[in-house]
Amino acid sequence: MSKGVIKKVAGPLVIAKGMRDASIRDVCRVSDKNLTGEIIEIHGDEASIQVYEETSGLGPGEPVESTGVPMSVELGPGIISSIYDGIQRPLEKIVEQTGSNLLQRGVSVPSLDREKKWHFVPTVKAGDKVVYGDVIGTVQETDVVLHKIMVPKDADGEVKEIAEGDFTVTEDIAVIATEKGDKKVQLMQRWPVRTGRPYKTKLSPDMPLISGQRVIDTMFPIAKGGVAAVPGPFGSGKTVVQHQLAKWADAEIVVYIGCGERGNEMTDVLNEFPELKDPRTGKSLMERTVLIANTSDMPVAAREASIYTGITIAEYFRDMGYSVALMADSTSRWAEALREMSGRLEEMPGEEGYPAYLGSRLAEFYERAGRVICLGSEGREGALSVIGAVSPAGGDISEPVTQATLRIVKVFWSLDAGLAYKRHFPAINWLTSYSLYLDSVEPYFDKTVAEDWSALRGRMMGLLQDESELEEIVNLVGMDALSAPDRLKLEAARSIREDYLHQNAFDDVDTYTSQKKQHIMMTLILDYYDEAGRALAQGAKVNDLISIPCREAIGRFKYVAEDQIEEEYAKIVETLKKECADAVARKEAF
Amino acid sequence: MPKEYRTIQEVTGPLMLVKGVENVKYDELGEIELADGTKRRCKVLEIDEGNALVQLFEASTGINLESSKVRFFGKSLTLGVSEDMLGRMFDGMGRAIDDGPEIIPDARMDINGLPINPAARAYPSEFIQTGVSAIDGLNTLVRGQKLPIFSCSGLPHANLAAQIARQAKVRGTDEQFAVVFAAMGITFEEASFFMNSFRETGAIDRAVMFLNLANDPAVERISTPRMALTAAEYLAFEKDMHVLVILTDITNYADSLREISAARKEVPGRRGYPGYMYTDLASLYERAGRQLGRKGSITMIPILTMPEDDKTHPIPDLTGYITEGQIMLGRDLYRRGIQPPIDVLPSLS
Repeated sequence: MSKGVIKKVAGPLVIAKGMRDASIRDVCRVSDKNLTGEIIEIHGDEASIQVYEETSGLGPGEPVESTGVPMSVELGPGIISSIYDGIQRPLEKIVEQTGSNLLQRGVSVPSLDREKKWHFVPTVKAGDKVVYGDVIGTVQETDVVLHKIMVPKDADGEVKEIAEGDFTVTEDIAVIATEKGDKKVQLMQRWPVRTGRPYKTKLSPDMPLISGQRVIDTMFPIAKGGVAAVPGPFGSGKTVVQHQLAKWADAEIVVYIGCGERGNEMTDVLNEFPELKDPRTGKSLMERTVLIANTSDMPVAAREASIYTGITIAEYFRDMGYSVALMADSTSRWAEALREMSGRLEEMPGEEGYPAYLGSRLAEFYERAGRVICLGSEGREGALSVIGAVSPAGGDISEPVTQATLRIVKVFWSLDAGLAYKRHFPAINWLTSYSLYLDSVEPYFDKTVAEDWSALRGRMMGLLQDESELEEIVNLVGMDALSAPDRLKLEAARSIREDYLHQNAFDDVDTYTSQKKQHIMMTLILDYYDEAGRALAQGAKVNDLISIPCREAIGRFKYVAEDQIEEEYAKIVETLKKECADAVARKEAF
Repeated sequence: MPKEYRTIQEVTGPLMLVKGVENVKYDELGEIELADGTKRRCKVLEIDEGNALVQLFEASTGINLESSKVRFFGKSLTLGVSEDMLGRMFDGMGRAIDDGPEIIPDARMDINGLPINPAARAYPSEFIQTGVSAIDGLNTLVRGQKLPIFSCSGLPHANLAAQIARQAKVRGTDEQFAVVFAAMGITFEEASFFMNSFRETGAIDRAVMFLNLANDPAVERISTPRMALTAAEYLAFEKDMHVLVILTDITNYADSLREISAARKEVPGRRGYPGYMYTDLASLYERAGRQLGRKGSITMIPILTMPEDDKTHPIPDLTGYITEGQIMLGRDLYRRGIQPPIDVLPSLS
């Protein structure tokens, strides 16, 4: 613990003297106002501290005290359904405590409720041998989340005492006899946010993270434990894509980081999520969600910390053997916070003023995702998927943050201003986006949904590619120059775009599409293409085939409720066949 | 009596270095007294032991390293607020410039405000009828929203803003309504257009105006919107009014920000604008909103002219990332005589 005094204040950067004993990355209490900061550089006895709160009114000579520990989060029951700021202060509790709707400085409220009692059920008994990472008991945190209490670091040994009962997060629940003496275990543990939580081995992802979003699941799937980036200019629907994933992704835990974004967006999440039902558990979505909010008017240095706070919480749940999905909206704001601190530290800038270490910091962050075998003797498997939004300046993805991100992520959902302009949402461009998990997750779809899943997907993608080439010809010489089969192809591609890829996030049915429905929809669209193609070969007129009435039913199929899809599908296919036959017959009548 | 310093070392543009100061805090308000007795305000941008880097809010003309004196007040810049501000006109630093009496403040509020706790925000949902069909029908404005007008030079964005201010109401309610108007670096003509428009409709009695015109010091523009928003916050959250804030022109504000950043020799971001411009603009825009348990609301309409009609220029770009939609004006529509020339396709709400 070292005590120093402030020498210099420049925005969120404070330089303190007399800090020779402090270590880098230690948390400090700055001034009598009790602001939280973190040491980011030390020169001799001068430490540069980034302060997570507004530094207005600070001056030289005020005290600084290092706490001797790095920035840590509190991990234990009570995290789920909370909304935290960038350094894990519970925002709802702050409103209660200060009685103000505004964020005052220097408020300290413990991250986890110290009063609340949780019912702890042991899963081991006295005399059992446990190692780091073993589950020793559980707490039913919400209706859907069973919080597993794990053996903390340096506590391998034999369980001496453990009992069922109601405990607060700081009360002892068990005593483990270790080589270095008895170790008491509580429901809560701490973990430094900048260090990734350890695991046994990393595995390659092989299961898709199902999101119910057709363009994502079918065209550009992300794997459980995978990483994806969503870059897009403003107004292209980044946040809606992130919200849709947070709502419908089949993860057991969702951590949503609002990093430097709009305050009203977080309010929207807070209003909407408790009302929405998880399609799998039937419970409120909030019961599996943790929110981290550092809105754009909140202090900039805490923005830098917020994504680490979020991912550490996510890793903690991954270690319990859950599949966790983390959304960070937006990593560009995080990078800007990094740039601002770098500028104040007078570092040599890299591209566009961003620090030279931008790429490595981003890589470090994304690399904390993955499918892993967790610590502990039972070999639990957990996965942490990370989806980061990027807000490229001017929508130009050649800027440094997007480029550094694309070097790391395996899935790229490219949001396109042109599509948003045409009100095609989600505005994920099917030609420029990609997913490198395709090969590893398609076997899963083929096995569990339908054998021809990847074949159908391949055909659809091919049609879209052909469409873009045909479009060029159309632009040059006009639609009439195309052969009838090519015109039919264009129509099929249009159907894929409008009836399949376009998905209305605000429609109760269309907001989530099950894999089965996705398969039926794909089949339906390609059925039309095949049937019409056959009719065309038999001499039907292409205009008749393009305008057959059942295409409207195909277009509306996305609004068909999940329990009626098969019935409806059979009906449409029947009309389709009849109408195509009619088209052939009409030609013969002439 | 605060200490007086005669230790100005350096004056460059809007910045000044004062040596040997004691007990001066970051962001503290100060005052420079020139030899002839004129006083100008300033604030501390950086403090390094005894050296204070000070940003002037007004022109630096006439500052003399020998004879000018600097005092620090031990508090940050505040605005005295009161309900009597309605119907009054102030300069960019919050000093009354009409012929009315001095405002006797009910409270003094820090012009930087405090961030709203995201857990205590109320989601905007009450539809405001503006009477402009392209807005009401396609890009609805709701209470607590921030909806900028992206315009280009030569387009009638002022007419549109004045029209909204004049006609905006929530259907079927009769609640207290106020307009806070902040002009940053606009011409006298444009400002008087707003004043006349408010006067004609009687809205002037419910309006608070902060004027920093094109010939006023550029550095003052940094505080002008903050003064206006502080007044708006007081009226909305203390006096339960529904406040419409019009900020014009954000482009001039951003240019002042760049001027100060350049004087500080900071590493520039895109097009010379400082890297923290997003954060800075957000600290203005995010002050719009509604709060749980409070009746009032702040709805914000910032107006910006896009340099070269370019939507990807940093000012409209960063604004677009913070605000909840935008109203885009189109030159081609204007040429065809469509009023207001709202281009509905790229507009969004």
